[in-house]
Amino acid sequence: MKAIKKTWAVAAIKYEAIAHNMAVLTGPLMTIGLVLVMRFIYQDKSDGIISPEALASLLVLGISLNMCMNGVAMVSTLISEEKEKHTLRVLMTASVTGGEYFAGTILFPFLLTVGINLLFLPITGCSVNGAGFAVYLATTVIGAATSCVIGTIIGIYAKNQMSASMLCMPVLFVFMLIPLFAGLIEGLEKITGFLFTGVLSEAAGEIAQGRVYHLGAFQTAVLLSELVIAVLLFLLAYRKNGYEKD
Amino acid sequence: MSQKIVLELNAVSKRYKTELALKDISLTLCEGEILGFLGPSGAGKTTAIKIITGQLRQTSGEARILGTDSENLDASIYERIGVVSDQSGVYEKMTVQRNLEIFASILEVPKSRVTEVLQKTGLYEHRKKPAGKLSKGQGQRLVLARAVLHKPRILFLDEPTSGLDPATAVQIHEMLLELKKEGMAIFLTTHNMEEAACLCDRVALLCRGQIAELDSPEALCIKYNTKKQYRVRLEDKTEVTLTETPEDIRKLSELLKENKVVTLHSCEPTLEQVFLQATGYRLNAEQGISQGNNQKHAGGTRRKGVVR
Ligand SMILES: Nc1ncnc2c1ncn2[C@@H]1O[C@H](COP(=O)(O)OP(=O)(O)OP(=O)(O)O)[C@@H](O)[C@H]1O
Ligand SMILES: [Mg+2]
Repeated sequence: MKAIKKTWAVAAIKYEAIAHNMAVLTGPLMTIGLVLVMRFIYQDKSDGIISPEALASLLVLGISLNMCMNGVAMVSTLISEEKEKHTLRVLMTASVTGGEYFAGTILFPFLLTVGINLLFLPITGCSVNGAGFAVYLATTVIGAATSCVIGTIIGIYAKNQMSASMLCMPVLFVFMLIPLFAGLIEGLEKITGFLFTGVLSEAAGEIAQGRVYHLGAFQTAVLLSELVIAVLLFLLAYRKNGYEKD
Repeated sequence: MSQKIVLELNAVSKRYKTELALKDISLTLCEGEILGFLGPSGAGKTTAIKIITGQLRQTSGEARILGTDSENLDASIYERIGVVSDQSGVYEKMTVQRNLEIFASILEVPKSRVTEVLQKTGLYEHRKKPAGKLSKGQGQRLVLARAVLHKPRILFLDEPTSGLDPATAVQIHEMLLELKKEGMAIFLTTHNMEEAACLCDRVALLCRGQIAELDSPEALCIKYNTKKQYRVRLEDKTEVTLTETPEDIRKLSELLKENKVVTLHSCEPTLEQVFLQATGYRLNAEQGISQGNNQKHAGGTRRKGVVR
């Protein structure tokens, strides 16, 4: 009960931080805006009817952006902002535990990432059946969790918001750009299957083209193992330094 | 002392890689007592607070806070102590009141207490302002208000008045004395001698990680009053300083008998001078530890017009 109250208090702090920080808010706004604009461009080019291939590439674009901007980048910014303003230590010396802080911090970014991914379906005008939706939802939830944990790891190592965005760069490069350009550059197609964002994009692409998509054993393994690895890395980093090194 | 001991350090030492930051620190703190940790920059004050409040591990020795060994502390200890570090921040975009409400919900304190604390710290009229817009002194009061929301048994303050103007510092002192009256134990660090002298029941003089002296400011000043001297102001507006030589004592009693004395002061050294004598180092906020000029400060008294 106490833990839930404290977690909720942290989440409330983060909610206000998201709502009042334009740098954080641009993430979700840009993702949604970009997908909307792209949709109208595609629609214009093809007299109102979007081809399934175009629809698929719209979803891939949205999902890669969303996972990285609203999961990884947002969480790491939120944590490093508290370090910069010297409020993280204050929370920890006001009886908030590491676990409560973690849960409270990722709650809204996680919900936002899942929500935006779901929003892409109506925005792009993609129609999915029940089974397709179930796969889409499941991969979205696991993917969003993975990116929030990666964001936390970066938050642990970043001293301020500046260094957080620096540290985010290579992560975004891998998890955002590789799935995005996989369709264009041949070498990347082989790599993208090993990334959770790649698996998500692949699944979304298939679903968008009206094909029944079943997550294979390999894809499931990629999704789950990357979540587990992220959590382990987080625990390792947290054990070593806490959120803030002394 | 008959009061309850809330904090106990026993030969605590801390080594950062190569540097010994704290060496064999032993002390106790009782309910309703203000203990000052006094030392120049780099003496180890912040390190001591971090160890006691469980934010840092000591290298050796034992610290017990409210009966719990500091190595076994978990987050719940913070429901019973308040900590203000030397750079505690506030949520700048939230209002003053919201800042306190957030911590009230974390510490399970009723909302009415927020209003109470706002009034006590004189922040009530500023409660709707974003915390980032407060002046430095107001901000420090907000940090303090947050730390005492849950009426902690012990309050830890790392340089609570550094960088504040004297008037604001006095406001903070008054708040602390009021909290002390309510039975709160206060552990504060400072490099301001006057602050320590007027606020603390006892002070620990810390130099290079070691406690050189630990006693009440008055007792320390008396202890280091090795050359007793009296400053006498006479009717004809001259000032003389008399020592304890038989000759001077005779002179003093004559002056008194003849009713020529306007004022008479004993010249104990100030805490600043005591620190210099006890550690050989001068307290200096800006420059940190600096070797004191013993020649100039020896005895610690003004030698003006010594009567022969
Ligand atoms: N994390 C650290 N790693 C290595 N050395 C450290 C660390 N923290 C403090 N020190 C060293 O330990 C000594 C004591 O530092 P501390 O911060 O406790 O001083 P202080 O008395 O609080 O000084 P100030 O008045 O400037 O705040 C200093 O010499 C400092 O350089
Ligand atoms: Mg300090």
